[in-house]
Parts: sequence; structure tokens; C-alpha cells
Amino acid sequence: MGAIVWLASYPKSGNTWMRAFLTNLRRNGDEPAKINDLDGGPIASSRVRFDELTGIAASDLTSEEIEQLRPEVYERLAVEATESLFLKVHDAYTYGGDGRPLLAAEGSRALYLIRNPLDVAVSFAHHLNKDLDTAMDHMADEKFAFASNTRKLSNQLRQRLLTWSAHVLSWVEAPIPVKVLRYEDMKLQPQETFTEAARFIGLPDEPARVAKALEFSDFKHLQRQEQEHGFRERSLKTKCFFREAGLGTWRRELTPEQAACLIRQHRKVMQRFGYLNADEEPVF
Amino acid sequence: MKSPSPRHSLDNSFPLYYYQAFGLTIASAMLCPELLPAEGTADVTIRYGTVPDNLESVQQQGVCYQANSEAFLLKLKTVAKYLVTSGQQIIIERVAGVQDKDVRLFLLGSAFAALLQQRGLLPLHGCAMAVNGGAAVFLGPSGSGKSALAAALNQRGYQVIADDICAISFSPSGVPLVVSAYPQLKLWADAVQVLGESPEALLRVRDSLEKFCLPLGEGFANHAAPMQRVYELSESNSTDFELTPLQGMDKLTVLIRHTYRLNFIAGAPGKKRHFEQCGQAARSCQVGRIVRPMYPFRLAELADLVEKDWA
Repeated sequence: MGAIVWLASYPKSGNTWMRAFLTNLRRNGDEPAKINDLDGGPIASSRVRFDELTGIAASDLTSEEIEQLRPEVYERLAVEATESLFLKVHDAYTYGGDGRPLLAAEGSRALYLIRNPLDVAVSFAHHLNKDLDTAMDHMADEKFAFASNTRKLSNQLRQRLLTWSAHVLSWVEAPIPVKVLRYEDMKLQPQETFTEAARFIGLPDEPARVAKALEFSDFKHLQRQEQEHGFRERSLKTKCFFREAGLGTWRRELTPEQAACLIRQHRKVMQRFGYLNADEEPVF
Repeated sequence: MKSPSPRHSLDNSFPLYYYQAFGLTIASAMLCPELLPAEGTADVTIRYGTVPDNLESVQQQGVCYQANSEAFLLKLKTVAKYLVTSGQQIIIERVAGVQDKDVRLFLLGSAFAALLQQRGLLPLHGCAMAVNGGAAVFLGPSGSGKSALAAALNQRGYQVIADDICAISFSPSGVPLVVSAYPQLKLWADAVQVLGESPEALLRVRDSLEKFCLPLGEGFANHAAPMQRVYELSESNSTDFELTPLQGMDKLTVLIRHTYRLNFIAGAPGKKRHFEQCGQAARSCQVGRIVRPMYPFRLAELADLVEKDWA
């Protein structure tokens, strides 16, 4: 019996970077771990794993039936695991009609990664190969979901993301232990922030080992590997996954109206997590 | 498809309809319009009855199933429970008010896969086409395009032997034979449209899903054929198709990886037999891996690629 540590985030918020770090930290190898062989996958919404663990085909079920079974899939996964495992997830922390969490699993915990929604919007638009307004609309849409097309089969199950703000709140208020880390702190104070992540997950936290894992998961390594070998998890709609990892890129990509709109839509959560100062100006 | 006239169960208490699939004669208390009618003595009986909530001496289990070396139990809270025993009998306890076709979907899926395993066949997750007197088999996870490819090749004149559950039996000399499954393909709405068909003209697999039954009629090969070629279908975010012949352990790995419901196999003898069967099949046929661009689904080019390979 192992416990699941959810590696949870809204898309484009540093989840893959964190997985690369945790993989390098755990393996402690002599060279960077391959980006196509990272721990923490397949994602919680993987169709293949659902079929394996249930014994039936999700493709014969409605999304509602699938979501009734998903809690049991994670319970089963935890029962069969021999040690704790961390698992990438983009679903919001939601509940079924019976009040049971979709991501139920005894003893589970969550590392939740949050990023300035102004930068998320820019990165998300590139990821989807859509314009910024479309990405912003998705972030404000409480019904937004991945893999929700009912006319074809995706290799992932439907994932309800809710709005960006609701996604954050669903996780930070989840009835399980949750550690929130900001993407900006991962960038600005990497040693301290990633050490916190390592401790929360229960991985070694010696400074030299953390530093090496950080170096091996540096953006330049991730980007180089993608250029040389490709990245399986890249969206088809975009040229590269590891595009840009800066802070405040929204300042050159969003119009003032778009920035104001995002701030209006997500003000409370932005304030709560330090993304707006006392004058309601963006901090990053 | 016209329903066969029922015969009666041994104690005359309920009518039985006779069908054929996987080289077996099936006597069913449930009408199964998906299947071809048959004559003769039944190898398998399907009837309604009471099904327990748990098996004894469970050796394998998942969220919806339990298995030991003799029996397999499938439990779907909103549809039915299925008890499959000794490769000879399936008992169904259905949830009141559920449509027949919903009950049949899981009967002809996971429950039948367990039955075939109990009978010592090797069910693979794939489809099979009749090609040059043999069978070409396409394996891959749900969504990899197996059924759509089968439909496209069917439009080009190749008969379909199996879709979804591709069961392999072995001749006395060890030749792997693909046995014919159900005379239909199951396709999602977008695949139906890519094929130039109209979803409105087809029956849904379930009323709640945009997944349709495409009856094969003459396009179904109702006979077993030696498995000559196996292709593993996978997709990537590249822009080109790739077909790579596999050798040695890689061939074996493909057959193990795409065994239909591998986790249902309970007990050491069953697992050993499965491994040996995969080895035997791997030695007897060519195995290749196809990587196709994930999007858009360039179905015609995929069909061109495999047709050229076996030409």
C-alpha cells in the first residue's frame, strides 16, 4: 500500500518542471533524466490506466460513469503501489454527486503549483495555439474541460478544470494535506522552494543533491532535450513545449485591457497568493 | 440482422438463441442481434440468474472485477453483474430497467474476453483483416485508430475477421490462428465521418454515446486465418509515418502489452500459458511498429502504408 501525492496544477504552471526535478532528485543519476521518461506519469486522467485497473473500457462509458469510477481507480492504484507515488494531475479537485472526491485515495496529499494567471494566459494560448482571448475565456469558464469532445476518443479521460481561480481554490481547500508552491518562487528561490517540495513528498533533501537535481532539470536542459529528441507530451498544436520560462512575459504580450480583464476575473485569488500588491498592481 | 428462432433450455424453462463467435456455438437466453446465428451443440451457455458479489479465493482483482483460476466476476453497478465460469457459462444478473444493448456491450467485451482466456485462447486488443489467405492484426490501445483502419481497409475490399477482441487459437502444430469475432465494427462519430458514412444511419452502441455499430455483412470473414503479420499502432506528435520491423524480445513485448485484459489471467498456470502463447505467436509472424502523426488522423495514408507493406 502506497500513498498518492498529487502533483497538481492548472496547465502551464510548472508541473513538468517539477516532475523533472523530482525525477532527477529521486534517481540521483550522473546525467539529466530523459524528458520522455519522467516519473509522475502517466497523468491521473490516463485512459489506458483506467481500463487496466477497472477491467472495462472507458470508451464504453459516459463521462459521468467514468467519474463515478475514478475514485475507486485511485484507491486501487494506492493499494497496489509498493511505495508512495507522485502523480501529475490537471483536474480540479471536484466531488461526485455522492460527495466523494474524484481524486479520492486513502492517505493522499497534494503538491499544488500556482503561477501568475497573467503569465499562465500567455503560455496557455501558445500551448493551445489559440489567441489570448480564447485562452482567457477558458480560464474564466467554469465548465472548461480537457478531452470533452464526445464525438471522438482522446487518450485521456475528461478533465474538468473549472475557472483558473476555482481550480486553485478547489485544491487549496481540498480535505487533504496540501502544500502550495508558487512558480515564481520556484524561479526566484529555487533551492529553498524545491527543498520544500522534496520534504513534502518525502524525498532526500540534502542541499547538494537538491542542487544537482535542480541543475539537471534546468530549463536549458529541458529545452535542449526537446530540440534533440522531441517531447511526447507536447501538444500537437504547438511547436515546442519548453518555450519560455520567464516571469512577467505577460507585460509584452497582453494588452492593458487583457491584463485588466484577467485581474478583474481572478482578483481575489491573485491577492490571496501575492500576485497583486496593495494598490492592486501585479507583483511579477 | 434477423433473429434466429429460439430453442429451449434443457429444463424447458426459458428459450435459448443460438449464435456463433470465436469459433464457438453459443446458446443465449438473451437475444444478441450483433451475432451471427448458428446450429449445433452449444459450447457456451449464457443465461440469467443470481450472481454473487464476491468470488472465493480471489487471485486477481480490479475495480470492477475479480478472478480466480475457474471463475471471473464482472460487476457494473449501473448495468449488470456477470459470472463467467470454466469457459462454458456466463450468468447475468442485470440491473432493473437497463437496456439490453448496454448489458450486451460488456457481455461481448470484458466478460467474453475472460471466457476466451478460460478456454485457453489468447485474446489480443486489436483488429484483424483477411489478407492473402492469412490475417494481418493491428494492436494498440483504445483510441489508436484500430477500428477506423479496419473500416478503411474494409472499404478497400479486405474482410474483417475481428475488431476489439482479436482472439488467437493455436493449431496442433502451433500455428497461431485468428478466430472470427463479431460481424461489426464500433466507431466514433468522427471516424464514421472520415469514412464518408453518416452516423445518423447507424445504431448507437449505447444511447448515451456517440459511438456506432457498423454492420459488416459480406465484409466479415467468418473463418479463422493464420496470423501472419502484426502491427502495433501508436501515435506521436511528429509529422511523418514510420513503420519499423521488430525482432526478438520486442516482438514478444508487443503481444504481451496488447493482450486484452491481461490482468484477468489468474493463477500461475494461466500466466505461464499466456507467456508461452505470446512467445509462440511472436516466433510465427512478422511484427512491426507503426507510428503515425496523432493529428489530423490521416487514415487513407495509414491504409496505404499497410497495404504497401503486405503487397
